Amino acid sequence: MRTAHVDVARAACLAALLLLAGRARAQDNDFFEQGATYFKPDTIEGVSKHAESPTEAPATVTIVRRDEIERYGFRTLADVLNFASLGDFVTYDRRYQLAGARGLFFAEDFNTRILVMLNGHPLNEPWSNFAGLGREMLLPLDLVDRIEIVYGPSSLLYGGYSLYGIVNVVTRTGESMAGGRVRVSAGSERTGEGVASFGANGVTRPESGAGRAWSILASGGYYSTDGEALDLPRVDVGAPVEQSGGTVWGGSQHGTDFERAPFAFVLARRGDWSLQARLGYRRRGTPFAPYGAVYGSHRQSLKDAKHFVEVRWDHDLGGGLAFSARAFHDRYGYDERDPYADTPTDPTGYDFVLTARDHDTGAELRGTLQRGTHYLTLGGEYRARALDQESHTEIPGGGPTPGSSVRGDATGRFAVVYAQEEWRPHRLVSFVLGGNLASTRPGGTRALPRVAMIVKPTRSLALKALYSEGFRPPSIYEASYADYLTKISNPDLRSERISSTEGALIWKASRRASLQGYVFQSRLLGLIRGVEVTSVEAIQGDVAGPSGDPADLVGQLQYQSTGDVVSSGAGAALQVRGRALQGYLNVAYAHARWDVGGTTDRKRLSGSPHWTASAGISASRGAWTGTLVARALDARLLQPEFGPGDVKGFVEANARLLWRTRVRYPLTLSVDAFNLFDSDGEIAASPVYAVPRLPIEGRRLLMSAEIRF
Amino acid sequence: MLVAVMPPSPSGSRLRSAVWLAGVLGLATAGGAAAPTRSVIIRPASTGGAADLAPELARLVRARGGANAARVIELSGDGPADSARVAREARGASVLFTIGHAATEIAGEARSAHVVALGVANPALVKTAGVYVSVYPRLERVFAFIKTRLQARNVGLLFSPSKNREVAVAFLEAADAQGLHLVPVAVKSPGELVRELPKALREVDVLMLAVDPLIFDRDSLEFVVGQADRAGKPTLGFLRGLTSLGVTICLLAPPPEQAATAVAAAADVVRVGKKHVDVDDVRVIVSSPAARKAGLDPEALGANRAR
Repeated sequence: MRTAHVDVARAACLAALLLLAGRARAQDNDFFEQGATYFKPDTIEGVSKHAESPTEAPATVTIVRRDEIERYGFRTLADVLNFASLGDFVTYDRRYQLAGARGLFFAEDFNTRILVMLNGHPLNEPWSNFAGLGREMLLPLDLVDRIEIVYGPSSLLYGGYSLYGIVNVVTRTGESMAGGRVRVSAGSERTGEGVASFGANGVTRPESGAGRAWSILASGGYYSTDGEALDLPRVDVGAPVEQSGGTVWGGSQHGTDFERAPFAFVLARRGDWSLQARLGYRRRGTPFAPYGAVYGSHRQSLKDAKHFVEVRWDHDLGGGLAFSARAFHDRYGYDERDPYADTPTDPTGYDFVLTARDHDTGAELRGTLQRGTHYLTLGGEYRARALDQESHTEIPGGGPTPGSSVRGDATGRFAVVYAQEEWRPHRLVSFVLGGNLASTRPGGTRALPRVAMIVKPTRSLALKALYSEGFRPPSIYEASYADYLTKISNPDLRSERISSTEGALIWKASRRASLQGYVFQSRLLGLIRGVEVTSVEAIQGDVAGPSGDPADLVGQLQYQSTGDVVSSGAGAALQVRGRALQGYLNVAYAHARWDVGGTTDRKRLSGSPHWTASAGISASRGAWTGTLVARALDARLLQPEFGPGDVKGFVEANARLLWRTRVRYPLTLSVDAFNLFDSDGEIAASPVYAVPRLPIEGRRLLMSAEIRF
Repeated sequence: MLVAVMPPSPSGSRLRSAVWLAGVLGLATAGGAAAPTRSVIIRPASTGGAADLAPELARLVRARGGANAARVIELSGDGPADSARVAREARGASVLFTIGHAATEIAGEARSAHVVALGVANPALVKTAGVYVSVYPRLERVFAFIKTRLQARNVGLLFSPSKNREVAVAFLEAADAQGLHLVPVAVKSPGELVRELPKALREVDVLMLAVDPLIFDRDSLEFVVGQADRAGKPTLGFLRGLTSLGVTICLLAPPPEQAATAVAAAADVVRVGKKHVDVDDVRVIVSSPAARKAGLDPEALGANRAR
């Protein structure tokens, strides 16, 4: 484990930053802010399917812009949620960055309850509704123009998944990122990354005077790290977790925390048409040895591959009437390998290999009518989904063990129609009324309303009263997949539903300072969790195994609705954007109780903190920028499988020093220190691990150079 | 820093007076409108630059039509909300004065009133029909200044083709008319700027900077100014504040004249297509240190009082 905090280093770092800020020369930004007046900003409509400001959105929203991403040194969406969001937090178990929000967090949930989008394209895949917050599905943040974080259920126009909220990652375009750009990074733990992009734009047939604007942004890159060398406390877990058959989990290991992630991305537009496509995968080791696998094995790994292509048509008919259509095809692949040592017949043990392939093919049609004080949105979306999963065991170096292969296929669909009216009858007040009707298989039919009233007593103050609902259909894996060896299906499984009541305010105190706050209460109904079937009576959906005898299914995993979760809390965010000094502070409190079905016992959720906070301060002087960001996480309960107890809260800080210069072409050099003070924070491990607490990543350094040509 | 106001040319003055008179008469005859507010001024939320035209515009409209003659709507930046507000509050207005690109687009959606737009860098990028008051001074006067005061023959124009292609064509025609050779320096990316600018600076006597996203990027502007300094060539821009960022000369369409031209143009109703109106007066602002670096005498450039 790492050493204790270094208070002297903390003090020195803060002092240096404040000194830099104190001596910072005021810069005249006003001239450069005029550009938005003379030209239309280059934007992509995201969360509400049309551009809107935070004061008008029927939700509490945080927008992290490109300059802030660069200034604060965020590398992944998980960084942004941890260090810049209002109450969202991410638990990283070296497999996935798993999000929680507003008191809600469920181990092994795989981000199924947060809707993650890239340029408005949902990334949650159908197999387990998983959405990656790291490098599995998204892009390096150099390519990103802004990140929109919407808190609470806001899935009216999208149909599902946004129980925690929505995160929309909006990329730059061939216009805003014209020319060539290369970034290379290198740092601790043999970390290296290279990202290259090329953007171009123009007008077709300019001589005709009726040409159409076009732009293209193409990018590719590769990220690689060996990861942290770990030396974890040794614990006898009573099961064979050593290659030799021993039962001691822990000890030193290195090279097992590796990650490799290549990607390619294209965003092209011509007139009303646009196309975006993403190819890439992330393969990484799992050093904490989940699922009772051998500790410290280089063979244990998982791989997530996400490829998609989307074609979109946006046409303005004039008179406030516009249409938009898009068609898409997504493919997701998952490969997992877990080494085991519990076979007495072969001293080398065996590997469990799991492969899943799914796809999502669909289309959406949407129309908007803007007439006077009304803005009406109508639309619908349909997706056909399919899953193919196979697992087997194999002797290392050999092929699949005969008879060990288990295969299952399943299909599903997702259909939603929606309507939303925004009415602004008076300058002081606006209303948002809407509803959708979704039909999913699995999951059934759901109808959801949204009601919001926004009052603006002054130009700088907006008060919001919000009621919204969201739902999450069960994934194909949860409801339909069955191998009858470890898991059975549940045809009766219905979607989870969440309703949320919220009051929020935004006060733009000045051009440089703004304050945002909210209070909320939500109720999640029909929480879906995997449970071990303990009796024939506990089996839902009249499922019978291949033998026809339900008794054969006892002891297997079945996903069921397991109760309701009530959550309430409040949060506040302060943002200051001075000429030389910028900063923000987010503080959120949430209190969630799980009302397990059939009992009056309400449990606090494990792994979820009451308090979360994040802050950043950044000072610029000439070509130099210095930044410090930090997050604080309150204590969390251990997962119940590990008995009573908790993990203590921790504070983690990152620092960045950035220098802009020229070597013929514009060159930006930066040095980042992640977990600067080597804080020894912990996460509450999910029950798939042998121990209840796992360490967060230690201090790492990264140097980057970016050149634009 | 030195500032001078060039007197209007005799022909320009007559034209402006005529337009002004027509505008005043137009406003006077439109006085019978039922709505208490006849003109609405739609301005961006930002301050500085074109946004600062709003008070002057409101003053002029009110001076001619009374205290209720003009209502100012400040946009929030939210498209649908701003559209709704304009639709609600501009009902019955006969003229919509718009400042900036977004305001002009929103006014176009209202489709109820005659639009007079200011602060739009390139009207070709906006669909709204109406009268567009140029952000540039009359180009004949710009090139006359370059020809007589700077004694230049080869003039560069730095711009992004995606944003200012039509503007560059207008500059080309105006330069031709004055017998000057215009060298277009079309730049699509920071890399192209690095590659193209040094070559272009060797060919030109002065470099003009269009009102373009390029100059609103600090890195790019610093590079342009630095390269021009190194080449000993003066730079010439069209926005207030550029001289304090190292640009040698600014030729401005003075805000009061822009506002007056817009008010005068309100009488000329354009429902289909676009009519372009220029401001005849030119204010010359010179950065003395930058001028001396480029071998120019600030006094000889027509600037006649210290700022």
